[in-house]
Order: sequence, then structure tokens, then C-alpha cells
Amino acid sequence: MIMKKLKYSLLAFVLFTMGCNILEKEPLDIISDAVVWKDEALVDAYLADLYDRTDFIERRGSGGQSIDCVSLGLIGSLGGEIRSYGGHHIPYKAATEVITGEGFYNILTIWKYSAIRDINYFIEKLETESTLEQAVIDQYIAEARFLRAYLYFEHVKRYGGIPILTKAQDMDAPLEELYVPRDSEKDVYDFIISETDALADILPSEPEQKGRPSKWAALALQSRSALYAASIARYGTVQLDGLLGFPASDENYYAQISYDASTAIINNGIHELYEQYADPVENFQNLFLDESDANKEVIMAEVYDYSLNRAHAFTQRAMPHEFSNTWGAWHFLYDWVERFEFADGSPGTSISRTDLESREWTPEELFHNRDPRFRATVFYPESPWQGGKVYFHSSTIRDGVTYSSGVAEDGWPYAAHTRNQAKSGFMVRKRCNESKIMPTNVVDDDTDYIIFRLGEIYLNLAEAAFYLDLPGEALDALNRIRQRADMPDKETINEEIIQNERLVELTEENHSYWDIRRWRIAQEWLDGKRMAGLKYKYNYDTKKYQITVVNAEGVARTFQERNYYLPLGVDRVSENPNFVENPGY
Amino acid sequence: MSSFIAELATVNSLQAEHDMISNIQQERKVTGRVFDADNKPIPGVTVIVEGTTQGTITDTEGYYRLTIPESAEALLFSFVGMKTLREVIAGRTVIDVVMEAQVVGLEEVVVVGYGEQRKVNLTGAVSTVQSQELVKVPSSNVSEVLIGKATGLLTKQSQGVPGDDFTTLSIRGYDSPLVLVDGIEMSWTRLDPNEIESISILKDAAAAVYGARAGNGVVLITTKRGAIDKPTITYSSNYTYQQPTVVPEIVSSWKYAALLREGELNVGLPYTYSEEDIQKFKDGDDPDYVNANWYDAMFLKWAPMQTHNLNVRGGSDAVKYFISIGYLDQASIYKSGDLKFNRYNARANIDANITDKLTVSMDLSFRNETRDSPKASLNTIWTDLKRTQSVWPATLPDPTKGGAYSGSKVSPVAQTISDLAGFQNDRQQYFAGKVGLEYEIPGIKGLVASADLNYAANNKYLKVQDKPFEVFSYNYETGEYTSYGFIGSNELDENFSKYYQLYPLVSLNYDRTFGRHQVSGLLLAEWIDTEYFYLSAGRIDLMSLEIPYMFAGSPNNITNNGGAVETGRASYIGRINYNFQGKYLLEGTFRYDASHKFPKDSRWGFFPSISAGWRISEESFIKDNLSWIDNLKIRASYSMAGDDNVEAFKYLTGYEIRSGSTDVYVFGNQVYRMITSTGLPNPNITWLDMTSYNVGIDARFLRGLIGFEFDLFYRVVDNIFGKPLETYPSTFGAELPSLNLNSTDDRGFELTVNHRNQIGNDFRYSISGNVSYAREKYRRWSETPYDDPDEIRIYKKEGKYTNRWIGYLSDGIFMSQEEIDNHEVDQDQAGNTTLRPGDIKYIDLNGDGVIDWRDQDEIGYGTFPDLYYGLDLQVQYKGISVTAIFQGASMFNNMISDHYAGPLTNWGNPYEFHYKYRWQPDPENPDVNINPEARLPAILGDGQGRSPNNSKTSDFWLQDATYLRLRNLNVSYSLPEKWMQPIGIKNLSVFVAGSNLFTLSKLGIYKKSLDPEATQYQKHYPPVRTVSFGVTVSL
Repeated sequence: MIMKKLKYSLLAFVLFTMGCNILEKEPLDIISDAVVWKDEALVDAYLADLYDRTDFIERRGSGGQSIDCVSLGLIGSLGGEIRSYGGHHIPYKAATEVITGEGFYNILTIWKYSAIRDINYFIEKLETESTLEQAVIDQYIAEARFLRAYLYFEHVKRYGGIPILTKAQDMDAPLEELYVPRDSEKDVYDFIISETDALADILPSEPEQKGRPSKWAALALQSRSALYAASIARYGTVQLDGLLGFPASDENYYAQISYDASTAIINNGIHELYEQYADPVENFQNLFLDESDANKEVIMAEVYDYSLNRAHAFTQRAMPHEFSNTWGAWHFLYDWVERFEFADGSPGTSISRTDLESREWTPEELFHNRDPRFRATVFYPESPWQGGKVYFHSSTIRDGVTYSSGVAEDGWPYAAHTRNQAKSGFMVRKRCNESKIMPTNVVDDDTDYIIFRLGEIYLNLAEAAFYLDLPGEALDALNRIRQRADMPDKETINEEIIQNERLVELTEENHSYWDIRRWRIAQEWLDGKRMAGLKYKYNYDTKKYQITVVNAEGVARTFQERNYYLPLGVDRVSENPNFVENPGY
Repeated sequence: MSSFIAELATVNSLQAEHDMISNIQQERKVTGRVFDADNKPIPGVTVIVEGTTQGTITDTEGYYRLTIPESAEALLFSFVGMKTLREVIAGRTVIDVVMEAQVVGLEEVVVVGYGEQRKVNLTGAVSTVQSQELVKVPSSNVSEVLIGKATGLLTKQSQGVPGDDFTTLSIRGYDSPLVLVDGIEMSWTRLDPNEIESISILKDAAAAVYGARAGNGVVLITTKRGAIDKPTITYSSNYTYQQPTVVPEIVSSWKYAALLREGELNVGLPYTYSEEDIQKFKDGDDPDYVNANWYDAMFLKWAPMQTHNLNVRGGSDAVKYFISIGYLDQASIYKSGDLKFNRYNARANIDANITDKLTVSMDLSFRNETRDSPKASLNTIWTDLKRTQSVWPATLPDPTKGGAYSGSKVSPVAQTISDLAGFQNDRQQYFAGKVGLEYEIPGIKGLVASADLNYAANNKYLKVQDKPFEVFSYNYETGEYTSYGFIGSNELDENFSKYYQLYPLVSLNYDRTFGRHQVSGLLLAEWIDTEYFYLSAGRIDLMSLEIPYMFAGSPNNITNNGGAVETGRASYIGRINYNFQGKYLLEGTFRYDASHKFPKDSRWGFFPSISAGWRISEESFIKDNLSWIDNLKIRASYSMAGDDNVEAFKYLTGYEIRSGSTDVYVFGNQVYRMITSTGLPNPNITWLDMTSYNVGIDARFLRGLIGFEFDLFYRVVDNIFGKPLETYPSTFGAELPSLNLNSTDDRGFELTVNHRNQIGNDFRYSISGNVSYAREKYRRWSETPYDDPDEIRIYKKEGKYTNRWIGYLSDGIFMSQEEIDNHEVDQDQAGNTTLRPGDIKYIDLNGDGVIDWRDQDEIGYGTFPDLYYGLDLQVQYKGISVTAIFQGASMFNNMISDHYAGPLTNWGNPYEFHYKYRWQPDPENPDVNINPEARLPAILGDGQGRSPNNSKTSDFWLQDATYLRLRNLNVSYSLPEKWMQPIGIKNLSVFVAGSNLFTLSKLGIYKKSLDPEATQYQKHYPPVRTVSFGVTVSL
């Protein structure tokens, strides 16, 4: 009997212990919070994640057919520089659709409070729990603050006032604390300016690694954001009891901040305009590709390195299709092409559209004698590329016969690749890396993405000086940029000159849309407009092109007055009773 | 004629022998004749000497003859539809018997959780499918075989990929059920149906014995085992042809050119094709103006599949066995032949009586699966196919040169060819083994102890080579190829993974009858331990595309990765059944269950259930007065179960290393890994709780002529994971924890009515119809605290049905610009300036003059059907039997989208219905329509497909997908035994069968281009229709 009892209790014991051991599983892939703050490699990895989620380049274009992939080129498209090839591409659709409070392409309406929270948490944990060296902690906190300021700028330029959170909110915080109200647009700009002020004192003048912000990057962010504030004060209106806009009297205040920051950068003795090649076309091309120390123009860039598995798809999207099955997806609109002056300084419209259609033209007449930056920025008929040429003509007339396929005996293709013929007759060359031969991998462009460069700072300076009523200084700064491009100096200065120079110099660098919004000219420029493109027929006998000006866009663009601020959206307004929607939505 | 004479001769000789044996006492032989209650002889009755495997079958006139051993005591007579009869021999040599008809189904035994029960004694809702139903229409997927076979088992067959399963199964509309094969959770859809004895679908409290995993119902698959019988060797084979149920009707090239031209003119763009070009396409005599059909270039009309199975089943007192080996080879409709599946499978289920108390069972099964496919995923190929244009030839004169340019930078025909575009080879082996001991404990009658050890493992090896191939167009005039660059990259990836499951269980079973009380009980403990790990590696830039091995790769950009997952589960289970006189039935179960997924304190859960039945038909007031009632039972059940099919370790906070190969960051020239938060933890996380209520009636009248089953159910699901959205606006920023916050409930009914009859000896038929309805509601839902009445009406979920669409209500299309100009409602929030003729007109629901989100409302059912119905017809005449299963569904919709709603999206080929029903501008007055059938928007020529106005979710695109299809048809013929017996064959039957043979649907203008069940708009491998021929031989 005793034996029996013993047997059963033994059995029960075995059963019990079996059960318990089986259940004691550990997640095999999770790192606990406490470990992170004591290990520099993990802190690095946390911070790297924050950099990555800041999305300096408007997403990397990776991910097959996903939204990321077709969203590159969004800002250029919204700003009226280009149209994206496919009518279904998000950049194209975003430029034409009415933006409503129901939601819009989230690549435009970013809402990165998750990254902001993680930055706040990072700062808090480093301040309180980390056992790393103080110097390291200080450096990391400064970098995180930089990212936070950058992100707030990304938000404020979209929505105007948004809540400024500098602490990770506690889960148990009372509701009234969680339902944060919007801070005003002015508050957010002031926050960015005060943060960048502080960071300019903390961040190193020359960071140890490329890709991390320097003191000058902080000032560059200040230069840009204060300029935005000044222009909104100048052109915008105060709305929603000050949640949006600035009093006009603030214009000089912010212009002065921007002016000071720009001046400090220009005079810092570290950064110089890139002038490594005698040929201004070659120089301007290489400004975006030269990653050597010789390129002192770059103030901050995001580093890409294909051999280390970090790459983006810019070249793959931009490069004409026939070279290696790249997309050739971005087509400059003729309206934008017209912004490029001719080499003698005459306006880009001095050959009128009627003139264009009234006679035959050589590429030299139309394109080669434009601003050298044009040839560095745009693929046009017979642009040299990868040892060949880019063509755009749809047919060739020879001895009175029209050919739309085949090749002449001298190698002249009677028609360009169908994809090239289809849209505007131009494509994007700037930032495109000629050394990339696909298709080893579709996302293999590892050209660093320039976040701030000195060229912009000069233009910021020109604009701020102009607002401050310092036309001489404005003209000097502007002409410095023109001289580098081998363009004749401007002799007078006005808004239009400043704006055009900026749009031309910074084409395809994700500025146009934001600039024309803050100048409050976007509606006039874009709403209801369909931009033009050129169709070319080649006359083989005269070696000239017959040109037709056509619609390049099948749908008219929309830009409504209310779009100077994006909507927070129905979802965000209903989830937080303290939120008010922007006007008009 | 000659066979008729032969038949007569046999009958005569047997009869003579019958008469003769009566007079000769010395022979230990018996003969006899078997009759039914109406005194008609019954052919085909199995007669066995009790306790042996010796036996025979009655002939066409009901005669039998049998040699019996001296010791033989009794004969057993058995026949389908008759009660098995035991007849004591008592020295007789002529034994004529009368067999009683048995009411079909009453004796049926069904498999339930951890055991079996007689169907009449069930107190829960259980449906069963028997083995013979599973092999009537061949398929490579068991889930497909189950379609339409069981009431309450809802299905949606969305694709027909060889060797891959895309049939959604749901019990009563719930989430995926737990599926167990002989009690083990394992990959089951590609079992050989010939190995399966039965499938039970446990729908209510019957499932509760599976505790934390049982809340969505349980499907039990039971494999065949041996039986005390002479060995029967069965070989079956079939040959099947598969074909897509729907091949979309794409427009020919001249219509393509015409639509593109019209679309470009509609949006004011320069046109691509002139009128002359269109005419040339129409004429078709210029080789550069082709009419290509990319579908035809890629796909076969029919793709073959064949299966073979050889099994032997039998047994003696000592050992019973079922041993089966099978092979399946399935080709796809890809013309390249590079998408295919084959499977070898083997099973040996052996039961041995070691002593009279101890039984040992050993089950071994093995499956080897080979899937070859081109590198490009199904999704890629089908998406790319949408983008092809019929104006470009689909193939090149020299197909080895590369891909054909499709007008877009895709070349799907080439992508189906592994030699050109790379391959994806998937090799998997499954192994499952079980050794079980069963011991009748001496001293306590009816008590049996048993212990089982299960082991299941799966190895998977995947090798993917991506090859770049060049794309060309061909000029027929000049004979020149023009390159359009490359598609694909030079890359090789391999992935190896291994999974195993170790699953011991021990139990005590008690079953005893005390007079009028029958009591049985079960106590069981089990533990499941699993481990999974994988290792992967990749190389790019192989030196040669012909050497698809790692060593050929470049030393740069090497990638590799690995990972592992462990799970564990422990459970204690109890069940007690009480049955008083077969009248009052009671069952109670409990399960004490724990899962590793949850924190220690909330890991264990208790799941009880109780169910009861009352067999009214056993009461004397029925039995004595209403003899036409064979069976009438009402039953009710209540159960609690759970679902722990959620991510593990949500109770821990921490960070994950971002593991994608490009998830790295670079500073300077140094690479950094990244970690990202797993979100806020929920320290109290636990499983979903499901409480089910079920009442049912089972009835059978008129000796089985009419049967009836009805179930009414209600289920509440609590503790559904939700984010605390009321409290945390998005500015909070953290990935909110998944809390057990939400609740839904389901309600519905199931009804089966059947009628079986036999007319004369040879003609039998049955008709069975079934309907199931289930609908789910958000009972409590954590969501944004809406306060605006429109927000509550439109966005708020709580209190509303889950399966529905929210969107705008449409009112046709604008037929002319004038109609837009006169339209008083601002439809685009831009004064209707962005509208064009042919655009959808929306209804201003709140009458405020503007169409905005407030004008949305519920516009219809969702995409999974709420209503299912089926009709099962079976007719048997002599050796011929016909089975037809009609099955359909309703109360669901297809949301027309993608290229179906947006012709020329990405310039892909439009469909015939676009051509026929588009808003078409009058060439004289392009603001006015000239197509009398116009009901779809105008064609847009800029590749955008649908305009923003037409892209709104609205009832315009919501298409009722109600359908009824002939799901299965099987006609089989068993050759008469008298022909077969002389050549030593027990049975030889042949069949012809088909699935999805025809479909009626409400898809309207989309009918010819859309399968009602394929929600992916033919963007994936379409569901298939099959036609099979098969043969089964038993020795």
C-alpha cells in the first residue's frame, strides 16, 4: 500500500515537473530594456534606429511595389518639377488629388510621434540610467535632440502648430495630460530655434563620423527653419487664434536668426562651395556624387554604402529605362525646364512656345546654351549617358518618309525607347549616379543623401537678407551661387529672382513644394494647371528636331488655399478632443 | 448475353449445392440464404464466422456458402443499412436468416476529442465526413476536399496553386479552427485522402475539451487503422485535368489601341495610336500589328494531375494493420511546366495485442513534398500579367533569347520559365510517429490506462535563384531585336529550417454500465513542446548563372541569418459522461491549460463545459405510440474555451534587432545594426475567452426516410486583443500594448434536412440539403472615443456587425459635362472642377451640399459569406452511383478594384466589360456619351486607372458575389463481383468526377472575368475546375 502511494506520488511529481519545464520558454530574440542602457553597442543600435526612422531621404525607394518604392520623387512632383511616369504612381496622384481631412498619402502626411517618443525616452534613459562615459552620453543626447528638432521641423512645415513633447508620456498619466493640445506654429519654430541654438554649442564642429550632425548642421537647420518662419510671417496669415501663422512683425526677427545662422556657417572656415571641376556642368553633377573630403560643401549627409547593404533607389527610379531596365520614372515638366535661364542670363522663356513649334531646332540651340546646371540636372534629347545618348523622339523623318522603328546605317535610332517618348521629353539626371550599371540589384544606389549643403545656405542668406532689406548682401549671396554655375551676375534683386534661383539650384533636392508653399504662391502656380511637355520628331536630313508642345499631365493639379497647411485628419482630430482641425478641412 | 447465361449458371449450381449439402451431414460446411423483412433475398451480405477472418459474400440471389471450423459457434451477417445479425449455428448446415433494416446513422460512431462516441449519444454539435466522401473528387489539398461536405464548415476557395493551400476554412464563421491529425497539431492539408478514415468537426462544447485552443472549433482528422479481416489490398489511381474556373476576357489589340486612344483623348494627352494604327490591328495582316494574348501564351488549357495509392488493411486478433503508400504529381497551368508539385507519402498504423490486457499501437507516417516554381512569386507574375498589352507579342521568335517586351517593363511569360528567370525550389519532409500503450487495469472493470508519445517533425529546404534576363521587342520587318534592359538580379538564397514537436500524453479511461446507468470518464495529462529554427544565407553576383551554389557568389554583400522559436504547453483534462437508459445524456468536461505565451501568473486557465441531451424518442410515450419516430433528441451545451493563437511574450518589454538584410545604418564607413522597441508590454496578457451556447435537435423519421438536424448557437468572444485607443491618442507615440480588451459575439444556425430511400433492391438515393448562417458583431470594442453622431454612425465599431463595408452611396455616372455643371452638390470639395463625364455620382446623404466623409454609410456585407447552403445528391443503382454536391454562399461581396475597376492602370490590358460598358465620348461632342450601355466610368489614358473621385469606396464597386456551384460530381461504376471474383478481385470500380463544373453567380458584368470566391481579382493563381478519371481495385 505504501509502495503504491509512493508510486503514485512519484508519478504525480514527474507529471508536475514535466509540465513546468516545458512552459519555461524564453523569447530567443528579445533584448531587455535594462541591458540596453549599459551597453554602448546597443545604445548605438537604438540611436541608429532613430536616425533610420527620421527618413531624411523621403524613404529609400526600397520594397518592390510598395508605397515606399513609388514615393521617391514625391516632393519634386508636388512642387511642379516633374511628373512621375505612371498615372498610378503616388507622386503623380498626390499632385493631382484634392487633399481632404479623410486622409491622404501618408508619405506626405507623416506623423512621427512614435520616433519622437523613442527619442525622448532615449534621452531620459541616457540621463538617468546609463553607465556609459559622460562624454559619450552627452554626444548621443545631442544627436537625439538634433533628430527631434529635425522631426518637429518636418511636422511644423506640414501642419503648422503641433504638440511639442519633450518627455515620453507615462502610461498612467491622467487623460488631460495625454490629450495634449496643439502648440502654436510659432511655438514649434521657437522650439526648433532654441534647440538648435543649444546644439550649436554642444555638437562638434567636425563630427567623428560622416552622417552625424555637426554644430553647422544644427545651424543649417536653424537657418532653414527660421527662414521658413520669416517667410510665413511675411506671406501668411495668422489663423486659429495664433495656432497657425505669425504676426507680420515677426518677419525680421526670424529673418535675422536665419541670416545670423547662415553667416556663421558661411564664415566657419570649414565649408566651401564645391568647385572641383573647371567645367560647371561636370562640377554641378559631381557636387552630388563626390563623397571625398574634397567636397566641403556638404554640411550633413546621410551615408549610403551598397557594400554594407545600405542603399536607395534614386538612380534606379531616375535613369532612363533603356540603359538597364531602370524606371526612367521622373519626367521634368517643360514649365520647370523654362525656369532655367539661357547661359547669357536671358530668361528660360525667351524662346516662346510658339517659337518652339514654328521651326526646327538643334539640341545645342535649345539646351546646350542654357544655364550649365540645366545639363547637369536634366536629361534632354541626346544627353550623353553611360557612353551612349538618351533619346526622346518618337519618329524620324528621312527623305520624306517617317520611320518609327529601326536604326539608320550610321546608328541613329529612328525612335527613342517608347517609355522616353511618352511623357514630357525630359528626365531627371541630377543625383543620378552614372556608374551604376543595373541590374545586379535594383536598390543599389549608394550616393549619400545630402541633407544640408552650403549652396542652400547662400540662398537662405540671400532670402533672409532681402527680407531684412539688405539688397546688396542678398545680391552678393545669390550671385555667389550663380558664379559657381558660371552664370552671369544678377544686377537687381527681387522676390522672383530669389525664388527662381533657389528653385533652379535646389531642383530635385526636396525643396520646391515646401518653398512655394511658404511663399504662398503654390496655389497660383499649381491649382488647375496641367504642365507641358515636348514631343520631338527628328528630321534626319537637317539633323534637327520638330517640336510640339503637349500636355504632359492627364489630370489637372490641385492646390487649394487650405493646402498651405495639411489637415491633421479626421482620425487625429477625433482621437484627441483637444485637437482642432486646420481651416478649410 | 453471354454474361447473363454465366450468371444463371452460377445461381443454378449454388442452388444445387444448397440442396445437396442439406443431405450430407459430414461436411463442415454451411449454406444459406439471406432475406430482408419483405422476404426478398439480399445480395452482397458479408457472412463471417465469429471470431475468425473466414467469410464470404452472398450472391445476387442471396445465397452463400461457407466452410466453417469445428469450433465455430455463430455466424455474423452484416450489410450496409441492416442491423448486424449474430446467428448461432447450433449444428445446422443450412442457415437462412432474415436481416432487419437498420435506421441509417443511428449506430454511427463518431470521433470526438480523445475518444469516440455513438452518434445518438452525442450531446454536442459534431459533423462528420467519412473516408469515401474524401476520395470521390481528387485534389491535392484536403481542405479543398472538405468544401461543401459538412454543415457549419464554411469555406472559401480563393486559389488553386499546386501544392499550396488557399482554401479558408472556418467553423461557423469563426477564425481558423484547430486542426488535429490523430490528435496532433500538424500540417494536414496535404495528407493523402486515402489515409483518412473520418473527419469530425466539433462545433460547440464538443470542442471544449481542447481548452485554450478550442474556441474556434476543432477539426479532428482520423487516419485509417486495421480491422479484424482478411487483408484487403487496394490500389487506386486517378488522372485529373485542371483548368482555371475563369479566364478573364481581355480585349484584343485593336480594342486596346482604341481604348488607349480614347483614354488619352479623354485626358487631353497626345495619343499613341492613330485611327490607321487601330485599323491595322483590326486587319491583322501587318506582322508588327499583332493581337497577342498573354494569358494564352502563359497558360495551358488543361493541366494534369495524377495520384496513386496502394494500401493494405486487415488484421487478426493479434495484430491489425493499415499500411499505405501514395504518390501525387500535380502540374500547373504554366506552359513552361516549371510550377509543379509532387508528394510521396507513407503510413503504417499498427495495433497489436501483446497480452489480453495490453495493446500497443504504433503509427508512423512520412511525407516528402517537392514544390518547384519559377523565382517570381505568384503575386508578381499575376500582377505583371495585368500590365501586359495585347499590342505587343507575348513571345519572341527565339524564346531562349529572353523575355518579350509587354509594353511595360514586365515580361510575365518569361517569368514563368525557370531557365530564364530563376527558380524557387521548396523541399519538405514531414515525419510523424506515435507509440501508444493501452493497459486494462486488472481489478477495476472498465478502467484502462494509456500512455502515448507523439513526435512530429518538419524539415524544409528552400533554394531561390534569381536570374536577370534581358527583355526584347522584335521587329518583324527588319528582323531586329531591340533590348529593353534586364529584369531580375543575379542572386541566390537558401533557407533551411527544422521544426519538431514532442507530445507525450497519459490517460485513464473508465467505461462501465451498471444496469440502466452507463458511466464513462477520462482523466488525461499532456505536454507539448516544440522548437523551430532556421538558417539562411544569400549571395549575389554569381560567377555563372549556371552554377547556383553559394561558392559561386561574390564575396561582397554576403548575407546570412538565423533564428529560433520555442513553444510549450501543458494541459490536464477530465471528462465524465453519464447515460441513463439511452434517454438522458450528460457530459461534463474540464481542461486546465497553460501556454508559454503568457506570463507565469496568467498562464493557467480553466475551461469547463457541460452538455446534456434528452432522447425523447426513447421515452415510452413516443416509442409506443409514435413508431414513425426513429430518433428524436434535443440537446444543449454550454462551454468555455479559448484561443491562444497570438504572438508570444507580449508580457515582456524589450527590443528586437531589426533583422532585414538591409536594416542597417551607416556612419562614416562603419555599419550599425538597429534595435527597435517591441512596444509597451502587457504584464497580464492572456488568451481569448470564448463562451459558447448551443441548442440542437436531431431527428429521424419513418425508418430513416427523413432526417433532420438543427442547431442554434451563440458565442461570445472576450479578451480579444485591442489597443487602448480611447486613452492614448497617436501623439502618445508608443506601440500600445495588446490588452485583452475587446469582445465580439457570433450568432447563427445550421440546418440539415435529408431524405434517403431505397426503391426495389437496386435503387437507392439520398438528398441532403443544408444551410448555415453565422454573423459576428463587435460587442465591446476599444476605439477612439467618438462623440460626433456621424463618426459614431460611420466609424464606431461597437454594437455593429463585423462583416460589412462602409463607403459612399452612388447614383450611377455623370453622362455629360452638362450634367456635372448642373450638379448642385460639391462632390470633390473643389467645386466639381476635377470631375469629368463618366465619373461616379455620389449621394449627398446629409444634404449639406458637399460630399465628405459624413456622407458615408454602411453599403453592404463584407467579403466572407455569412450564409452558406448546399445540396448533396446521391443515387445508386446496382453498381452505378452518382454523387453531386451543389454548394453556394451568399451575404458577401466582392469589392471590384485594381485593374478591374481601373482599366489601363499602368497601361495594362483592359477587359471586355470595360469596352462594352464604358462611358464613351461622342467624337463629335466629347462631353457627351454615345454608348447606350454606358455604366462604367470613362477610360483614362494616363495609366492612373481610376480617378480619385471614382476610387472612393462606394457601393458602385461593391458587387454581390452570391453563387451556387456544382462543387463535386462523381459517377462511379463497380463492376459486378461475379465477373471479378473468378479473377481474384474483390472489387473493381471506375469513376469519372469533376469539381467546380459550373457556377451561377450574381457577379453581373464581371461574371466572365471573375470567380466569386477569388477575392484577389485573378491576381493570383485562379481556383480550378477539375475533371478526373479514376480506378480502384481491391484484392
